Amino acid sequence: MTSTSTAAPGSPSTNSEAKRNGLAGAIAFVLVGVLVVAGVGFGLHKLSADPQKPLYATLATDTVTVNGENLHKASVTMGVYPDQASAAEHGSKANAKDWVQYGPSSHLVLPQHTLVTMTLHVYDSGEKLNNAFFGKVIGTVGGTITVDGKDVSSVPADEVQHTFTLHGLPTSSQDPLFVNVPLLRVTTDDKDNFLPTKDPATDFKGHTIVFSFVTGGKGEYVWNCEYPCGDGTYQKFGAVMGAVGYMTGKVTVA
Amino acid sequence: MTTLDHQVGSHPIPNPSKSLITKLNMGTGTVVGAIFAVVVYFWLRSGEDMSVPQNDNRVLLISMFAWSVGFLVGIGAFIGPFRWLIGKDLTDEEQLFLAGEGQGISRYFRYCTDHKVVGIQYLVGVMAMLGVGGTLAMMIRTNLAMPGSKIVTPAIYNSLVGLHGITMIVAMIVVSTGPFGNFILPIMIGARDMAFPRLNALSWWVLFTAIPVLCSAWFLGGIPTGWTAYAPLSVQAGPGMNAFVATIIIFAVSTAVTGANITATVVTMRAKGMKWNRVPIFVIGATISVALAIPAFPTFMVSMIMTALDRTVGTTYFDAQFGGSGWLYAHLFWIMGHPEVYVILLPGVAALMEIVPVFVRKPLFSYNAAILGFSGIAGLSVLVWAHHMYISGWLPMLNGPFMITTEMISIPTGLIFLVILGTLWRGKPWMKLPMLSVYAFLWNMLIGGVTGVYLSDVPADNYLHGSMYVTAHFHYTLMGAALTGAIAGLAYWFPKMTGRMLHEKAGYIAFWFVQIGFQILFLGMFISGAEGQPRRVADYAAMYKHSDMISTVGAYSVGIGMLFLLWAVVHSWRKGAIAPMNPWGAKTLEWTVPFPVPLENFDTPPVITSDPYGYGRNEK
Repeated sequence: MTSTSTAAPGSPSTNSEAKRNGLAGAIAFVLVGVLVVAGVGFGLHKLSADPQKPLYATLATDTVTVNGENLHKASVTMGVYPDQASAAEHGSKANAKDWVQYGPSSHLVLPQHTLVTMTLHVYDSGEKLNNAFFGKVIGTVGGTITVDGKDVSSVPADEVQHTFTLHGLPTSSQDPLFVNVPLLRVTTDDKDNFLPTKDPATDFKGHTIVFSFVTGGKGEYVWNCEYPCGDGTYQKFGAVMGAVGYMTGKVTVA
Repeated sequence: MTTLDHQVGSHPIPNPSKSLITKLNMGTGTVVGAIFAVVVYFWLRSGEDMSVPQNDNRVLLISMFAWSVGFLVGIGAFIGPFRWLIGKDLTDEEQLFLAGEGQGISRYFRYCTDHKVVGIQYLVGVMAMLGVGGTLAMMIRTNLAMPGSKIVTPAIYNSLVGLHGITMIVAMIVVSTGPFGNFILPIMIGARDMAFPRLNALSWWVLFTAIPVLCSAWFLGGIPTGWTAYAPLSVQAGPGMNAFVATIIIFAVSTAVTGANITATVVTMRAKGMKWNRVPIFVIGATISVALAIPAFPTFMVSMIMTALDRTVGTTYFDAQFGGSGWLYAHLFWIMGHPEVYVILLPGVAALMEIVPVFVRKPLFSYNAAILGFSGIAGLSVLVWAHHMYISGWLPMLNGPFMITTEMISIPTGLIFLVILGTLWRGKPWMKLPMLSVYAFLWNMLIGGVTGVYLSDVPADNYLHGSMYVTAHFHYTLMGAALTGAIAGLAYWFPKMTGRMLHEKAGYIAFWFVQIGFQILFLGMFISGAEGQPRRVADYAAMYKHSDMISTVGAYSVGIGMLFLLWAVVHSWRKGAIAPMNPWGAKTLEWTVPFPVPLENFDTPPVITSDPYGYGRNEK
């Protein structure tokens, strides 16, 4: 190599300036950095917050015996709403998009070790389930649901509008809970006459579906619709299907 | 404070006052880019039904490219070619202005052709990208600290993983070749500048335009596919995916320009007497790396162009229903994807190989074996891509050949190991910060390499594929080896790039926080992965809770270490001890020039008469 002007190894020049600034500055810098990163974390956590108020089941005072076990009773009512405006009319205020949605909240809070009776008012039409398995009623008391007062144990794959499928997270040793309820479709969308609070036998053009299931101990569960009703992305499993507050939500057994 | 004034130069400051180039900078680029994007966006969306995803994607994607082109117009990237086309090439004074002569700090915000300015631009840009990617990693690990965590939703978690992945990959690809390949490499070979200085500036500013595009993904719904962006997921994903597609296409242009420029520079502009066997090993490693990128990255670009067409005009390259194939995407992606691992790794390793002889005061052990190792890795790396697809369902009989080529790559990798170990053998290492990284590299690369052999094995990969084991493996190679090499390079060349010594104590603290934290973070991940914990998933079974908590603690340690390093860099750059011209007593050419390095590097062209590693030998 060409000759180089070299200082002796190990003898980089130093000056007092460099020594003046000790590691106190470094530690302060690190603390500020940690705060910045934590701030990003809090920001994302805030973005992740569920904007909806939970929907609490109403606990009854009487009890019932199911499979030899004496249980309290509770009830909860939900609807499938065609859009934001109809959902808002019935108490759902959180959602911002004109997507079909469950409501008034997608976060259910249910009491533990209780027979929960759930009523769903539904209006939607449908196409066909990808997976006929979700056309079966699973996990309800008696293995059936009532559709406008009639007991059924399954719905044909091409007559489903949505499903209410409740299942556990793979995170802990909480009691297992799996409920699958297929919702019978109406022949055509009837959202203009959708009045879920009225008597289905007279005014209501959709269906009213009632079923009961038994909760276990405390735990966190999720529910979602297994009928692909999204906007075309992910083979209709995108958009509304994956958005919390629309076709998916959570269940807290407390 | 002793002044290291960047404005002081021996030449008069050029002042082509009437020239447009003097009025253009990053600010004008941003304004013009934003105007281009906004005008194109509103022009294209008029009359379109924006509720149709294809139309929305088309408008967004074209607007993103409009931003990139607009920025380059606004910063003056096309003035030179345009003036040449109309027969009024830039004057000498304008050329000098373009080279940043006498402009001080402002040249770092201009379209500057000086390779040293471009190197610093890359360094700052890479540090910013690593900071963002690292912050996202902290978010990921925080969410995984406990099972059932509710820190972020699964959808946000998916975006965190995707953005962390692509940000880090982009940053790591340029982490060594960007700063050191631009600033140091031309001086190391005795060149006055890069072969194509304007293209050099273009490569940086093109890459710069990709950064806001990628960031826009956050506001467009995120990147839900992970960094691999497999089709058809990427075709069907929401508008945030347009940001990913545009980023990759823009980035591929940048890397192609960089690759061609560095390769041309090394091939044609070496100093007199610098035969190929006298070229510093970092130059060899960096050149092989960028040369490898030249054929590799266009396939990624092509895959993204096809994805863009599927998303915007309804072609069906990846839709099996209409004769397309998801495998086509997987092949195109991994034909880039695995060479890319070595594009990242080689310059970092080469930087370490440059450091070892200097700090052991011994010649590099078997220079030819080192070149054989680099060449072998580069050659084999283009024949191994399908080991990522063993369980994709493609023709199983083709798994065997790819298993063999993948396992063969451990042979040239072993040569690299032997060269470093041979150089260390019976040496008396001078244990400064760059040298510590050499030992960290040997440990990390050993673990990353050995665990990679299992993943290359078809039966083992059937079990381990998609698990945290894979995550631990590639972090050992990319972060534990390549990033460690790049940080060592920073500590080593920092005096030449900034004129100051890196704060040693903070550097040591950073080193130990990062390296110990890194082992805590990833060693246990091999076990949880082997026990079945899937990667890329926001939640996990309770049985992994101890492993994941330990990993998160390790991640925080790495984060703290990186913050110490950042402080050391920022503080030393501003107030660090003034560095002598050659603080390490090295023999390569970059240590023969003063700081600030003159515009054309050398007052008189150097003549090379010996190899660069003649430590302990009589000078010829």
